[in-house]
Amino acid sequence: MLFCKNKVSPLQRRFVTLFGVTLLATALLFMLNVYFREGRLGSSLHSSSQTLSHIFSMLPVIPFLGMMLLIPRYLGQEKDEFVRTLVLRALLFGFAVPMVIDTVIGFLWGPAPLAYAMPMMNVDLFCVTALFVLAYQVRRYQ
Amino acid sequence: MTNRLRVLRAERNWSQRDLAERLGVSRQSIVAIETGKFDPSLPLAFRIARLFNSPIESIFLEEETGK
Repeated sequence: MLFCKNKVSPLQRRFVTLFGVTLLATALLFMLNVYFREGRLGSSLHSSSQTLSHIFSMLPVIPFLGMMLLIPRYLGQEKDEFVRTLVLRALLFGFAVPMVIDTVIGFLWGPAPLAYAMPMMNVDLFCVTALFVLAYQVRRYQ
Repeated sequence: MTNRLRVLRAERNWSQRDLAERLGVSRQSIVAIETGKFDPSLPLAFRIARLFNSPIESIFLEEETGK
């Protein structure tokens, strides 16, 4: 089983694809959400249903929850213990970086719009950080 | 923990990739083990010992702690 640029095991390829798909799906659902909430289509929905607004706000996290269910399956199937360690380390960084950024921005800007907007990007930030850290670690042990 | 993996591999003229394929792990695992950045689990250590036909304790050595 090789884990370098051009020779990735099918299992690892599936894992990276999963991250990519989650990232895309979250971004798309996020944009759809903003589209609805900011009026264009939502103007008619806005006043009629608060519940619909809540449902839309849940949409972007669905791919992330799906990914969270699939990651343990991947880790269970991955036979290479060192690669498992690298993936776990990448996931930890994926969780830590958005939390750090949220905390700093929260303290710095408090109720400013950016402080509200940042948590919405957490899932994307998680995926990007985890992928970046994983790529960095794989390169480090080449 | 230190190990003699690099020496044993060199004695057999195996590349890191050869050893990785024989053990069914990634080449990165071999790099990390050889450089002492990763200690293998007991099952992997046994697989390595079996492959080199040597006892585990002759491959993996405990580092002397400073007194």
